[in-house]
Amino acid sequence: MMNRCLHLPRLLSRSSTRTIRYSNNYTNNYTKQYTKPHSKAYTNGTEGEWSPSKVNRLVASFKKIAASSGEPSISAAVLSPDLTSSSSPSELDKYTKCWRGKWGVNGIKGKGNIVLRPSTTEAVRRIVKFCNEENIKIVPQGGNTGLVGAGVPEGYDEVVLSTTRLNSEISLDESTSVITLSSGVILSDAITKCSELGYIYPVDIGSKGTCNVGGNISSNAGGIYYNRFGSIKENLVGLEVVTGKGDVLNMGGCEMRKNSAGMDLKQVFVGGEGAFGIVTKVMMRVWRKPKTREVAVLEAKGWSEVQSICERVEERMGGLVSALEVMDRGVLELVEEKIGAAGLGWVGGTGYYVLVETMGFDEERDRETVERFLEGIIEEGIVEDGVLAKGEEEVEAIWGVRESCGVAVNRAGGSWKYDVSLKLRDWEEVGKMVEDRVRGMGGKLVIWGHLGDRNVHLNVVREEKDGGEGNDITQTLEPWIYEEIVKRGGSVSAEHGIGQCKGDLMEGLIVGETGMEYLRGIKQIFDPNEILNGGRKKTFR
Amino acid sequence: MRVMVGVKRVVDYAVKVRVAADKKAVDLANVKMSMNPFCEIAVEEAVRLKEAKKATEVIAVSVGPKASAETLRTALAMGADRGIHIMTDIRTDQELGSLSVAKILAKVASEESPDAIILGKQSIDGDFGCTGSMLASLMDVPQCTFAAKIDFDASTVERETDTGTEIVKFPGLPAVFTADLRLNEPRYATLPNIMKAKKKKIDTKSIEDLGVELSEGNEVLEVFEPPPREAGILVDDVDGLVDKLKNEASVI
Repeated sequence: MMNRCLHLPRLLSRSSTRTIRYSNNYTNNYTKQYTKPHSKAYTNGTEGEWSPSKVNRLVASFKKIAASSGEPSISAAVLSPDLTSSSSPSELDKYTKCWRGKWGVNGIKGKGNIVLRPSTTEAVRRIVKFCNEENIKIVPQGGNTGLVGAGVPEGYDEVVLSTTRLNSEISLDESTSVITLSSGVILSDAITKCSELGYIYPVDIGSKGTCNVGGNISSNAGGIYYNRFGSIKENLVGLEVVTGKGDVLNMGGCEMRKNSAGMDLKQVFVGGEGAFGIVTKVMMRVWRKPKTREVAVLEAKGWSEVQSICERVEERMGGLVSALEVMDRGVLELVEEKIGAAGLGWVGGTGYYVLVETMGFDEERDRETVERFLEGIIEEGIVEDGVLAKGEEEVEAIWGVRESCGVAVNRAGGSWKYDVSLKLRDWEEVGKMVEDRVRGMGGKLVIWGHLGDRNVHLNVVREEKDGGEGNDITQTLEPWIYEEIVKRGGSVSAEHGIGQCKGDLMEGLIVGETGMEYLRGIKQIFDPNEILNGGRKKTFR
Repeated sequence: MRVMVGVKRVVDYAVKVRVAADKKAVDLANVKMSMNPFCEIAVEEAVRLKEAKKATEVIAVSVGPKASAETLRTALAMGADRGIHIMTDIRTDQELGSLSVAKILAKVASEESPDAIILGKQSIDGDFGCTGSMLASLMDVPQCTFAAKIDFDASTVERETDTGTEIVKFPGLPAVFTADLRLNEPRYATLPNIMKAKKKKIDTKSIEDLGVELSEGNEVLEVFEPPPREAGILVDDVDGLVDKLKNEASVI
């Protein structure tokens, strides 16, 4: 019985840690092509492969740091290529490569020669101090599941600092409803811990089986519960950070959720992508776990029906709604083709599918509210068909499909992702404009995302990747699409961040010239030697 | 042909159950309840028979508390025509034994005289798996348990065994069938059908109304959790693993 439901989220986490073997030979040809001009401050950012002797010397130093900060396992704390043998680089690949195969100098993989996995804040501090003295760039990284390459090394001369072994603390204080986590705790472990004690962690995203809670802070992740429980900024109670200077900054003295004592310094690190500091500890507000859960999927013929459903859900069920998601027929076809049909028993018509999830505390009353809502929209003629999950098994199957949309699209061959937020009325129009532009090139638009918080994943897919003159979808859509979205008051990156993907939009479209001046000023304060995330040149150019 | 199916309300299969404070039962307070998965398969099979015009009516029967009406409503939303709710406050996961349930179902069957009775092979709470066989014995009709495929035209059933499946011929109807996992994959309840189900009829009766004398159930002495698994250890490298396998586990 238990095997009937395919656990798609597990497939998802497996794929985000997959390893692809590569040869080291063809990298130099690509380096020039993909390296854009950058400022003086970063001339060491991507050029100049370290000599084997330098790598050896650094590895020895890092091992010494690990030993002196009491690391229980030096070999786990310092990963480096064995320069004398032809051993496989696959262990390093997990940390140096982009799982999407998109970011990194040659577009296939990152380049860090050395990966550091400290298990204590003290070790992180010592590493950062050392790197300041030696002018070594650090790429802070969580579970390496990001979509924009913020944690993927760009140059040979960067070390990756992975938080994956910083996972000793995971404790929930029920008197304050606050959970304290070492930054390398895997998100699903935090979710499970909360669940065991009757709480819910406010962040839940598709990559939860691999991503780290600290990485969630640095990338300002969104996810399916944003709608109900709010953003990371709203739920963040405290942070411990090692700044680019190597200071341990503890911003978790106040354990209370309500706190207006002065400027909220920790918020600078939310979405900071490791440019100001490395998050080592996280304190988050957790919520009482609701007792009931209902999941319905509604078929919407067209976009205007999707809009109506969204409005009715908000108007009639309000705070009972925990997630409100949308998927179009195209993305579901991809899920069926690339992942498998399990759990897709509810797909019938064309158009869009809206997933509505409620969570409450009274089974009878909640069920009644949901049924009355469903009855209402059927009577109004907004919806003709759909399903209501009979039990948790169907709930899991439906969510499995929703969470595998991203992976299915990645397996389509070429995919162009635009993680944007837009007013409801603009989605269809922008989608049509995108379709018109890519149709001649064999591109197909697929849409899915968080209807409740107006965050849509607007993706173009086709079998081949970008290729040559007149056949380059990136060039066809960018920067037009970003300008179009900003013009409509939307966000060009609603939950994935900037990374190596959108740095060149910062000044022109996101914060403006003056804004960048201030951001550079903040960078100077926390990381005067520009050690952290040196590869992210575009952001601070 | 008229088909009767049994549906039982049980703790949702995905819920991690907890032992109640008195250690005499599983804690049911604030726990998500759903239709027993094998009963879902039984309902699906009956509804498919109706869709294939082989069955004229599908009657869903549930024995349990007030909330079992919801479970019946789900069966109606899947396509059953009407429901019969035998209401009782006796806990159906452990106090009301298989024989008592079989007696109740036999009485309902004697009133409804269905041609085929399809039950789940077992419920995931008590896990006894006896009700179907007991019901067939009480009614003195053939029983086809652990069904993976039922062919009413040929009067054959492919049934699951420990080593694969076997095909058996049954002498004819009426007969009792119990559904195994591979019989079918139950459908989702669609919104139009959920709405239609609200208008379908559910008759509610008590065990006294039926005039059934219950058999003595099992006495629960203690309910306890299985011993927790010991935590694993992480080895540093391959040599460490080989060492442990060789010297501690003695498997290589």
